[in-house]
Amino acid sequence: MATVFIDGFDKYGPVSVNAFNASELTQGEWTVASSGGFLIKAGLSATGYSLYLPSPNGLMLSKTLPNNYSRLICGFRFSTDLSGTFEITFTDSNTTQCSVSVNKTTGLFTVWTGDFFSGTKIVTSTTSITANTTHYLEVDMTFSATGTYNVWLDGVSLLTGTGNLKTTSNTTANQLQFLTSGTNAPVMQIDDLYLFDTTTSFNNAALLTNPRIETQYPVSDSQTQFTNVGTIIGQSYNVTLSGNDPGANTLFLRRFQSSVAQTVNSISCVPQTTNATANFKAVIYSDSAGNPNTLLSSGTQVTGTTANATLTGALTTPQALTAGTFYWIGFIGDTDITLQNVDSTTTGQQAANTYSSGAPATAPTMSINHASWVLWGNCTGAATNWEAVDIDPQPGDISSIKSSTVGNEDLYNFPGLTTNPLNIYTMAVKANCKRSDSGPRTIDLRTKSGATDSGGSVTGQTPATSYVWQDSYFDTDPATGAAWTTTGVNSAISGPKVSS
Amino acid sequence: MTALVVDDTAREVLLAGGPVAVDAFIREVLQFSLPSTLLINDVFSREILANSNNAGQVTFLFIDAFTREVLQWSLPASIHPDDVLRELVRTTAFTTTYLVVDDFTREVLYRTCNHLVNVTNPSPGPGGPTPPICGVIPKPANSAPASGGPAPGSCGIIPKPS
Repeated sequence: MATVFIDGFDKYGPVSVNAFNASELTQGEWTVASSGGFLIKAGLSATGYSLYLPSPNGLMLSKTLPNNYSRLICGFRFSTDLSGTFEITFTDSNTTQCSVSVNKTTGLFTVWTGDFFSGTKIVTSTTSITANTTHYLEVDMTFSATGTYNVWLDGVSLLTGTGNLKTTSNTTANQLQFLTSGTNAPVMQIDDLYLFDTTTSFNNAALLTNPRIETQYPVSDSQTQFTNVGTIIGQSYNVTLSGNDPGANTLFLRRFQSSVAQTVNSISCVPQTTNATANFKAVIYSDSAGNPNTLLSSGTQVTGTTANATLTGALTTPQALTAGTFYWIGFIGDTDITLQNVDSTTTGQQAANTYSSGAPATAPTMSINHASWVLWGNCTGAATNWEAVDIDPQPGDISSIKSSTVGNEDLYNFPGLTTNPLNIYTMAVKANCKRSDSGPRTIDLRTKSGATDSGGSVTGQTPATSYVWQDSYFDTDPATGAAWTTTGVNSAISGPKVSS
Repeated sequence: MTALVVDDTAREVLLAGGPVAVDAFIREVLQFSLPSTLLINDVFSREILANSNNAGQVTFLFIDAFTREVLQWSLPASIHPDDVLRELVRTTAFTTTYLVVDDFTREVLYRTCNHLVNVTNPSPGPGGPTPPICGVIPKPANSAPASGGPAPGSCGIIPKPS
């Protein structure tokens, strides 16, 4: 292994103002992400998103690494308002070996034995940054009493020398952490993170270039051997805590496109209030020139809501959906119930509808620009798998694939890179996965390039019984053993495999 | 692999006896006891894991090529091995551990430009480094375009004012 870890911070959902969700999603990849502490913001580079650490609470983002490392090289893009100090630390089982901090107000960089809270200062730069500017910081640390440190800012050497870069009896680190200090912590954004060790001839030194990370999701199948558990049409997540009440005796709908041919069996929403007597029936309408048209199917009555619990209404007759076709899904209801919103957009439509009369056979004239309620249809029957694993953020079991057969392997096609890079340093293949119970099961994250099908840097990983991200790294093209080319990446297919 | 869940009674007996012996005779007994949908070879063609959390101890039960006599030898005299196996099968819930994948991504780390870093508002403080320019000619001072955009050929780098 040379690449230990990379994170483009692109897979934790869209730009978010819901701190709880961002932290929860991040914890699938990072070991510790301060609960309720993070947000997702626009990326600091051309593609994807970035992780946002808001003031004023001190936050920690910690990744426990797969091994103990005597030397680590880390780079990341960042921006801070310098209202407080932040630091990157290399830690040995929760004891900080050494760190690099950026001082609040001065913007100067300091290398520490231990951390800046209680450690010993080794050296401070004469170069500073100004608030709210974007930079790329790279550090190279050897964890010994006379360890060598190197710090680069925007590709230029900032600090270099030797010092005591350990505080434990070990000359290794096994955790990477980002910390913002307690009260008056700084606002900070992180993006495009890499972490290398020095075990191979690839990715064993600071890049000192302008790296960025582009995250890709599957766009079609190349090989499917897993079973499609289910897929969704709609949006099951929320990036805001706000809700909206469509009102009593209302038909409320949102328009979604079915990416593949499948059958929708039920429709779900998330009420934000508890009401024991509220009645709902799921409905699905056809689309005509962007407006709801003919009732395709309606559901059996669901009575009672529980705050923040998913309400699912079964369709009396499951509705076959055509790939690429738009549909309107939603409910009729008889009671004022606030529903969870996806975000602050207003894509919902609603109309007055006497609940006892049932769903109208033809949608009435709808009032537009209502909230984008969390609404999705629960589907089965897709002949493909890619659409079940391409949703950001991940919906959970309702959109997933599974297999218990050793050797089963899915392989997916991915979109071409959005640019033609000068250098491709590594490709991470990642699955948000779990075991269905405590029995043994392991996963490979495979990439097939040409005729060569490889498991990358780590094979036979054992997932937890709840969803976490498992990663494997391909620093070189498996077909050539040389650095990736754009053509190589764009032609390669990747997917999960049941390795045992 | 199939997880084998054993109730407390059977677990006690089996744990006391160690590895369970299964010979042809007991296979017949088990086949008789098994649900019709479960083939005996499916049970014995691989290790069966009895994952029982007994006082924090995870124990494993391996059924493969052992003999019935071993089981007989291991058990208290008052317990017949056939009874144990019948109880084992009767109380066993066969579950399958699936690998479930919810989301799948690729993240590609690359660089696109010869310049070192795409910095916004670099403005280093006093004594700061000259912003890195790689293969481009820094634009002369005091001649930034009115739009504030980067100088041609600078790949987005705004040279530090001289």
